[in-house]
Amino acid sequence: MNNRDLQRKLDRISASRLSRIGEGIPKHVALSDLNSITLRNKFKRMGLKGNHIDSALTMVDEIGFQKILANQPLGSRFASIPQSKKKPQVWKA
Amino acid sequence: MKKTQFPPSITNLLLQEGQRWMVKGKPRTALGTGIIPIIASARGGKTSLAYSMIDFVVEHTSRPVILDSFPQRVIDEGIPEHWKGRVTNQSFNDIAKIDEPAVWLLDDSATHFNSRSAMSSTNQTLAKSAGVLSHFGGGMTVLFTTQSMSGIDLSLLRYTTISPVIRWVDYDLIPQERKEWRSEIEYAQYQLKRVCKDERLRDFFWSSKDKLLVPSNFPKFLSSNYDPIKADLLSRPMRYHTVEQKEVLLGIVKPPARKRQKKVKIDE
Repeated sequence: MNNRDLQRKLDRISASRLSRIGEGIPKHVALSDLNSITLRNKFKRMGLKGNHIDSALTMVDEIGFQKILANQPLGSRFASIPQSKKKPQVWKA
Repeated sequence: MKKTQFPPSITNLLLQEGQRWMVKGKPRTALGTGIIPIIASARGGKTSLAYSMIDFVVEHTSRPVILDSFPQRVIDEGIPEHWKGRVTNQSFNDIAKIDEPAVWLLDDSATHFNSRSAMSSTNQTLAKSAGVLSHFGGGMTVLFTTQSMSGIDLSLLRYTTISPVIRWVDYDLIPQERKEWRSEIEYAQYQLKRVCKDERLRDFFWSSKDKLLVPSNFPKFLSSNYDPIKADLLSRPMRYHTVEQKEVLLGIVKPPARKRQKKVKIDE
């Protein structure tokens, strides 16, 4: 097994464990950066709510996710795209 | 049994060289020579799948079938009626004497062609013949069953066209597999678990070359409800060797030396 395979294996183990800590930690804490947390805290203090606030948070989260994914191999980035599960390919006589 | 019972890469080796069959509406010409390794843990359906392939060969080709080192009792009493006259019992060492496009079954190859017995005569024959299977008898095909690829002499897998078939492999044995095969066997187990309902995943097999799951065709004559004695003769043929033959197979006793023919001096 080469280093890349080993790294992916460790990633999978880490990811599976992460979701099992208590009830898991939010996606933006696990995968985004500091701005996602501080901005949430700021909006909370100011008592701001609504669609425009959610959009702002989504944008900051997505920028954070992209920063993380930028360092990942193309395969990991591709695998993070939502996709439907392939049906098993069965030979029909 | 339909001519398309097995996926293309397997049919390609089971039919005789030059025979035609249709794949998704397009005609294909069979290669008719190569090796089909069948991998599964004990009682995982290796031998029954090999018999199903032989049944296909008997029905759709005129190729002779040779069961390597099978007990004679299995040939006499175990094989189904429609195989009689098509199936014989010979040692793989006699491959040079066969001048027909035979299909060989090497059952439980881990015993016969073990990598620990790399220098045994049969193993050497196999190693040398693997590269020229397409020449002998107009192209031969070898089916072999094994519980682990790590027990097989590598030379068997280095030459000619192969079309591996993977069935259920015990989870704890996978780490001991050859590194070249481990990921494919793991992937096959994942695919089999997606569709199989049987506890040993015997309702499908994985064709590694086609990347397809294939529904198993369990031959009627192997069913214990049909004829329990015949079913057992075919299902575990090695059980019916004599004690001496079993000891030779396992390497406990050396095979008897061939009697040397006395050279007759011609009187002048």
